Amino acid sequence: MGNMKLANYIIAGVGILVSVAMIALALALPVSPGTGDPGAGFWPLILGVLLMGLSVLLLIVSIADRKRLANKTFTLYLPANRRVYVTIALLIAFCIVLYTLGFYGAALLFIPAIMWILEERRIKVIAATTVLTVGGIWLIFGILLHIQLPMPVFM
Amino acid sequence: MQDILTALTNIFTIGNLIGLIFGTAVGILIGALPGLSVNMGIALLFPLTFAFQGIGGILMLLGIYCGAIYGGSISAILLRTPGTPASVATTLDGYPMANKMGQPGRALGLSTMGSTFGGIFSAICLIIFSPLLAKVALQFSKPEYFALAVFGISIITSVSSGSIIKGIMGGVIGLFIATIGIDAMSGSQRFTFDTMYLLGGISFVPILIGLFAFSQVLQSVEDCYRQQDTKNSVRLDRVFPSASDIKRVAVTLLRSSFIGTFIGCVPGTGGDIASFVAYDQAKRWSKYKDNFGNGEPEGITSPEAANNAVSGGAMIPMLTLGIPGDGATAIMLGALMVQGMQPGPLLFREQASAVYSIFIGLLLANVIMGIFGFSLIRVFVKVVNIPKKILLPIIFCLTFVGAYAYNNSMTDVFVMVFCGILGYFMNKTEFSMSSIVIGIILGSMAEANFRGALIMSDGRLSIFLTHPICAVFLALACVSLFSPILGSAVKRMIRKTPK
Repeated sequence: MGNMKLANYIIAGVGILVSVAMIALALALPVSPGTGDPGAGFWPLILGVLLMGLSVLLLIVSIADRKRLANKTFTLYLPANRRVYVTIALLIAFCIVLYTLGFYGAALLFIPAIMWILEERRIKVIAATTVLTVGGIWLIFGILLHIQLPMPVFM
Repeated sequence: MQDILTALTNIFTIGNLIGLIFGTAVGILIGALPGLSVNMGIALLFPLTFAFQGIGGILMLLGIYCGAIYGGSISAILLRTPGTPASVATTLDGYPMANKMGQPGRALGLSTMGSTFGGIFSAICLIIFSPLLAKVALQFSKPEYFALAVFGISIITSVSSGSIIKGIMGGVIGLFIATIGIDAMSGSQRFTFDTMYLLGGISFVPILIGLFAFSQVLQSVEDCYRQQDTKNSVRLDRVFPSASDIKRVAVTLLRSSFIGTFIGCVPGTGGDIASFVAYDQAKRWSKYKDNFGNGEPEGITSPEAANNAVSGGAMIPMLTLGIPGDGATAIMLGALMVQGMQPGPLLFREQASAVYSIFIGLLLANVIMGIFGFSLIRVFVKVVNIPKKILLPIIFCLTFVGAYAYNNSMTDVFVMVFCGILGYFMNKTEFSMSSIVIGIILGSMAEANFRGALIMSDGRLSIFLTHPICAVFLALACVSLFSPILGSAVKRMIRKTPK
């Protein structure tokens, strides 16, 4: 189980780091307040300072309210969540396979895999869904709307 | 008059009509399925708009917008599970009428009538009031536009249902993302790290699809774990409301439509607030108060009229001032900008026929929604039985197609996946995704007008206070930003005060 207290500490920490990066990058750009156009770096600099202030505020508020936030939990490690992580891994693999096999080839592998993870075991349903989905996308996007989807690297 | 005729000519082409009808039908389907939201539907199908010529894509999105809000009532009434947050109030009387009284057809018919009436009412208000507001907004200059952008961004606190601080952080991150690329004023490269992809800025579309659609599907994968797919068979008898029902709800329809339109105009509010306010008012003024919660017809038509009336109301500030009224109109705003239409008062002057096309399109979308609702409700009812195991892989594929189709770029697909995974965890930690999107959409407007105003005033910040309209909008933005924080602090003080 995750809790909001820890989540807020992490978000505040990441926010501070990101804001430091924003400020550093903004200062590398022209900044000239008080003379008409304040420069390309002025607005990002304001945003960086604002984000830093908000991150510190979040940290302070989270420390002050830590007891209540510690009881505010969310699920991260249950079987349902693990299923999501497996799905995420599959989707990342899909991106890589997409690059080599093209969209249609990758989808023919991906759809059955996702349905299997979702505990669909009827082969006919998996096959029909895969064929109809890939066929439907080819018809609507490829033929009707002339949208070229990624092709295999060997084509 | 010429612009209206041009708009009618634009709309009544085969392609545009097909887009409108398709969008409305798909919107109803998306709205009917619990776990799919209005924002998700618009985000998912937004890339399709590029395949349409001219206004066709926008008309399709309008259809999705109207259809999805109405579609939420189908599962609300039949399954007691609202398809969209705006339909929560509909469950209170819709489900009892369908289930306890055994009249699902009557309940669906009343909701269709309410939604259609509310949508048409607000579309008419949009047509009447937008040009008037646009005329006032033509007086604005750069300080006022900057203040408007800040006010639009301040609605972040309203869409941040969890933590307001995190909502504002999300907005700031969105504003920063909007700065990546080539600075329009000086031409210098900002935060591009010498990459071609970032030279043009981070595309808004893959971020949108990732945050709203992809992350939602990941959440659905979690939610449907170990859930049994149950088939709900429903026998619908009469769908079209009887004369006695129409007479009973007539005044409620008008009142609720007005409430929905007004609430829709206020940036940061949405269909969920409108539907509950309308339900509450309907109960307060009804002769049948005691019947509310047990299948009262007014209890179904009031929230449905109000939540669909929000669509026209939210488009008033979106089209005239360039401020999104809610999350869905924020996405629509982005869609218009990508199509080369910059919402704001100048839109009414430079592209008046396009504006009238949107007005008439919204009106038509609500009419088509009503026709579909009354004639095809028996088909839409079957949609709620589609198993998630079949639906979710299809939606995943569509997110990949949508992200790629925008720019034919695999990098956009990677950005979409990254944002989707991030969005899944952001949801868990109450980090608002709407605020990031609003920040991205309004970022360019805010910065350009901020710097433009400083050029006008030779660098003096006092320009934002010496222009009265600008000062008023900035004050409203402060109220909007801080009132939720102050409100909860006051409530805590009142609770702690000994009686």
